[in-house]
Amino acid sequence: MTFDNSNIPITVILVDDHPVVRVGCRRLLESTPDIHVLAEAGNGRTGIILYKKHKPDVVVLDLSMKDIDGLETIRHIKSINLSARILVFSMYSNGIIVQRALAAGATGYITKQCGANHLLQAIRLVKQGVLYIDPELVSSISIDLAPEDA
Amino acid sequence: MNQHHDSMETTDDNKTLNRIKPLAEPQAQRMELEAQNNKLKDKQLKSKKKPDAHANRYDNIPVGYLTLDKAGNILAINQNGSAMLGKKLASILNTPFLTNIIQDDNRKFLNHLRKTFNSSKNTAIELRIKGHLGNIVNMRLESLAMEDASVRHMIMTNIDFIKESAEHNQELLHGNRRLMQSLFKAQEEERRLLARELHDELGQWLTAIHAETETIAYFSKSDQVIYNSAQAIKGCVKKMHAVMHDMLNQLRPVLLDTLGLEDALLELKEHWVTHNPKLALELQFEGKLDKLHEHINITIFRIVQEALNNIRNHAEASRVLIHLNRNTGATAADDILSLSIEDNGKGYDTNQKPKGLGLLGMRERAIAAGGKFSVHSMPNHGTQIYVKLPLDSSNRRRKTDDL
Repeated sequence: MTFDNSNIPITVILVDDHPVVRVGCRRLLESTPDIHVLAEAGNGRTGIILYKKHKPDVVVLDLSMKDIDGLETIRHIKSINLSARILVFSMYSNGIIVQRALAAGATGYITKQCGANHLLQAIRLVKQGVLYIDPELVSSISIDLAPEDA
Repeated sequence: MNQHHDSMETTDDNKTLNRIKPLAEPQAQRMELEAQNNKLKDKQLKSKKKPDAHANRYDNIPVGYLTLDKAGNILAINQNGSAMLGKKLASILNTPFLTNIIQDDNRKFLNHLRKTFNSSKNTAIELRIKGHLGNIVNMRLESLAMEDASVRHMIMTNIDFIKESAEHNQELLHGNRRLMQSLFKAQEEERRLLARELHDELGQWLTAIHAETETIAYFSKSDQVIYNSAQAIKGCVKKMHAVMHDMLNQLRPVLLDTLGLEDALLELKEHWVTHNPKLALELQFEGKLDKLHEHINITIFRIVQEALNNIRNHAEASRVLIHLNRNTGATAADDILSLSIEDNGKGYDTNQKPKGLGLLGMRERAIAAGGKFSVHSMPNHGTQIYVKLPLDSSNRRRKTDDL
């Protein structure tokens, strides 16, 4: 497991339209000394505002939100700061949507289906700019990623 | 009754004859002759009535018989024929038949007349006749082939009731289509809502449980019982997630609403390739296919899905090519989406009624969206499915009414 050498915790904002998910994730993230949740947003628009305000190390972002969709939020945040680190935390486990999220500028992608136990590790890696994809998804998208990279 | 009466008469006559025979011979002969004469008269009277009865029947049969010359003049017509034209028989003879036809059909009749005089076969057309109440009557006019080149016999039949029943059938068909349309709409809407609920509610609660359990596991590493229990809950949650994910995929292609038709089809392909590795599936897209109306998206997606199911289950194909193309019209509202699905499988005889409901469902879906659907297939020559959908919704409604 890779840790940041400094003692400064990784700052995170959570963007997810379901409060109970935010509460659960926040509790999980706060239970680790190296991660600190700065703020939560219930929709993409607020997420963008909070990003501008807090400039967190990592944005944990759900893709399906009612106001603007997650891909749009990724693009918007990347337009504010090209080196913003965004970790998608989504119900979707389809290869195509992972591709789209990475193309929009996300650094990592984990699904809610199998992601909670990967969340901490993913945040740490994404913070360093390492591409992180849910291990259970890698096999299904590696084929599709290849031609786009080429 | 008559017969009985006749036999009584005969008996009486015989008695009379027997009685008078011994009297004067010439007188008896004269009386016998008179009796015979009466009988003859009687028979003559009866036989005279018979042709009249035939004539009446001929006049009243529910078709018109007429004879036209080359110029289209009525040389002969039966009573019923003239009645069908709303005129008296005498007044109609030697007048042009054309005057009875509504103007729009004049050319049609003249063409028919020319054709029938040159033809050695029976020919028929449908014409609209001016009814005597100012109404329009639909008639079928059949010309009989004849040796005589100067005249043609024709049979005229009132086909209003056929037209009416055809219209009635058409109405039923329309009603059926509308029902089908709302059925698909209701079904898809319900599926979409269910998928939404599953995804937005159930799924998120599961995620929350997962995260909370993760926290419990994190803080209970020293207590094996609690830790194991937390791990077990995580396992359960993961399974529930997987089940839910399958349900979601079956209910509604999630990508259709988030990323659009192209990506949803790519995803379908991905799924298909994983499960049917022996079948090469190629997808081709042309033109702007994003931000299409939801009804268009789901119609195309379901047709492709159903077609692929058919191919997998029946076609024994090794290659499938799916081509989706947006044909640009004069304005964006005139744009048409063309879909073709071609396989190199064993094909089938299109004259045979297909066993499954797959093709029927695809056709109804296309038609419900105001589109057109066709299938071409021949044994050993694969199957080709073609769908054309108008993209504008008002266009779509109009076209549905035209069907």
